[in-house]
Amino acid sequence: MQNGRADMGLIDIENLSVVFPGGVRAVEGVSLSVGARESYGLVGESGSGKSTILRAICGLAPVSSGSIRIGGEVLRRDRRFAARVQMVFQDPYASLHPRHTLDRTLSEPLAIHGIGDADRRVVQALEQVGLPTSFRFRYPHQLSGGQRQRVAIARALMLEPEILLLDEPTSALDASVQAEVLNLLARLRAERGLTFLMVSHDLAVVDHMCDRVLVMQQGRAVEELPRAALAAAQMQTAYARSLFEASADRML
Amino acid sequence: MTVIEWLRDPNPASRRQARLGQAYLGWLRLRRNPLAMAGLVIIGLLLVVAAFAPWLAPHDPIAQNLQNRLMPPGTAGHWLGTDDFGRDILSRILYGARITLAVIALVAVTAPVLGLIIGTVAGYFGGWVDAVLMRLTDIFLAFPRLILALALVAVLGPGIENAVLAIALTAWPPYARVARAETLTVRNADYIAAIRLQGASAPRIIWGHVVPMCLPSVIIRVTLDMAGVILIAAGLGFLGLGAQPPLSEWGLMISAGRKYLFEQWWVATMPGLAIFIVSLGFNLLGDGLRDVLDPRSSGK
Amino acid sequence: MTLLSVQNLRVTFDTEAGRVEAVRGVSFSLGRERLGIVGESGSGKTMTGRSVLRLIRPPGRIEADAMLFDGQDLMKLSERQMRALRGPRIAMVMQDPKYSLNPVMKVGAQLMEGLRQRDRMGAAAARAKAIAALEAVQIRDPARVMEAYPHELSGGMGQRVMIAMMLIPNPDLLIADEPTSALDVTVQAEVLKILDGLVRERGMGLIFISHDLRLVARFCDRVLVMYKGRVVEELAAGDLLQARHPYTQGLLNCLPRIGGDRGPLPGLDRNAEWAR
Repeated sequence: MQNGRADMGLIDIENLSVVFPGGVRAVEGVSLSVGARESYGLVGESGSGKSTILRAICGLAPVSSGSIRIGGEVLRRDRRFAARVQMVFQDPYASLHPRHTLDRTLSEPLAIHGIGDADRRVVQALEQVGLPTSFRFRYPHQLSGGQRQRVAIARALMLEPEILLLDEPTSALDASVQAEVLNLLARLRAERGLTFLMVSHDLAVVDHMCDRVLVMQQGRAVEELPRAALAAAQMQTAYARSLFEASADRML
Repeated sequence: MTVIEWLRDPNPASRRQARLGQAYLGWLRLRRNPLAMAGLVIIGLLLVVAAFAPWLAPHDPIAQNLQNRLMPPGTAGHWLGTDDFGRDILSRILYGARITLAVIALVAVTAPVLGLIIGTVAGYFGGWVDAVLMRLTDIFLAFPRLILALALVAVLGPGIENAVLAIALTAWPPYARVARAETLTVRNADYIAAIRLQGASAPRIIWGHVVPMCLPSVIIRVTLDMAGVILIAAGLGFLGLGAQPPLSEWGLMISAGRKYLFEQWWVATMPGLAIFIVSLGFNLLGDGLRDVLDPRSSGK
Repeated sequence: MTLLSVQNLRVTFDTEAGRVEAVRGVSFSLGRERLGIVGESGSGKTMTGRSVLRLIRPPGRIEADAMLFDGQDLMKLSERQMRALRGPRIAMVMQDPKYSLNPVMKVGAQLMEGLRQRDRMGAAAARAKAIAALEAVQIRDPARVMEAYPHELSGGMGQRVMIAMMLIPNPDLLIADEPTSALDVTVQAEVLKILDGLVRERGMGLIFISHDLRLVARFCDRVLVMYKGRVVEELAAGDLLQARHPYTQGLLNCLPRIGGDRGPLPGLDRNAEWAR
């Protein structure tokens, strides 16, 4: 595990604030740094701003102050960015276009970036995420939730990014399907050397997947914990402790 | 493997098979709705009649025969009677189907496309683009359609082409409204966010990802509006601003029969019935299509 | 003492794709206790809960040898009699309060509606009772909540209001369908504590439907594990970790643990035998 320093992380977020039109302060002064090939978790309850940070990185939420750097560069959300950073959304029922076949969904990124050899790449992508290639021309409504999330992961990997932003990727799934998707993500990370920034409300999932965890509350960073400290219940702040205690049955 | 099995294959082998399979499922849903099927049959008949009018019509639609003026329906050789110039009304209605169909086809390929583009662009970009485009739409919507069409035809000059143009120019605002409303719900969907993250350009997102979601509502709206289009075309014809005599346009025929409405009722009634039946056909089909195409009703 | 006894419950849907059997011969009985029903999506747990209230819309059909609630066979009651039962005797709390509360009506008005209409109570008495109900679910400033619209409440608050509303007529049986799944963990704990207290104090029966095995194990007295429309295992909640059925074991094992090892999580190999 590589320890991300503030000056050498792959993802560097400094003093980030997000204020939505209407004055809702979703994120206030959050800094974090994720090293290359690291897996970093954001936990917190609803309204803690954890998903907003991911959306701000992608340009889906307005950054009102602070900076986001990827590999030392200040962010420009162009095609090159798309090839470096991709996102997997929470709800696989909402993140796939209902009127596009899987083939269309997976080949669209290739078409946008002018990458040829789409047939081979689409088939390969399906195989990578453990879906039968006979599914290629199915529509999302012909798939189960877990299969859809696999497609969403395959789509995110089509452009071979270094960074994957995971927004509660398994919270809409059944426990056994969650296990399969988490295993898939872990395998892909190992194979491709991906960097994960993962949001979850489930401490057990974050603990399983991440090297370091940032606990958030109402838009602010509360405490950063290495994985060992989380498992050993060595948190310094009262809020992180209460969150941990509410999840105590996740130790079983 | 039969064609049906090929269509129902859960694992299609090609894009074409997947699309045809979906169309087949839609057809199955449509087939269960008897009223929609009735509408479809009526429109099918309209198409057949328009295509084969020269073979189906017993007489030349514009050949006058002043000895046979105003014969009542049931007269041998003139089943629906003749008009004031002794022309066979049945033949005129059959040929009139061609004009009606041409008007419908031209309006259907212009107005919805224009409305769709304006509506999706306004909805997707929002802000001042939305404000400008939607105020423009509001201006068009503020006038009653027939009045606006009349004004346009008055400027452009009477004639069937100008009538179509006028109808198309007055018909797009409702489609723009529908498309915009649909776009606003789709715009914030995760799958649009996902494709934006892939670096897609705005035209690509609008055309490839937003428009397919708006299309069903617009298609339903178009079918339901077709009755209105026929009526406006007929109205323009009736007022002498659409098709010009001796063309056998249905509205024009009603207009010509007006003078004889009390004594020779069939001259105006027969084309009126034709308009009524075709309008009904489109309305029934439109209602049925709503059930088939609406993504909310088709379920997951 | 048995409050509810269900024998051989079946729920079938006749759809265009053919007949779907959502619940296939489920039997259970319930005293004044907390019964958990767990299973994955599609296991039929929600349908089982809804059938007790006969709230299955066509094309769904409910069949059962018997469904005795307090001596009455629910299967034999008319729709009118069922309506009289729903609410005052058997209440239901759904997953998301957002969809269960009327968005254009103040919370107070919604709470008082039943009291005014059904029990013909005066405005002041109804108001006092509604405030008492809100206090019972530990809402600190009930007067403010009474004047709020549902969208002004947080998820946990909304769910408490729902529970308060269901509890006003003092039902004998409460069916809670994933009542805490939309809530944050800390709020979840509070809502569970409230439910727990109500069951103890009022001697209510509770059917707690959830996908969360560990939550049910902690909270309920007895657990039914459902798989594909059948009950595969019934056991005391405390014994859940010693479950014998491979499906229950699989469900438990595939969950990640805090401080667990980070190897691949064991998958759940479904056996066609279990569904028979």
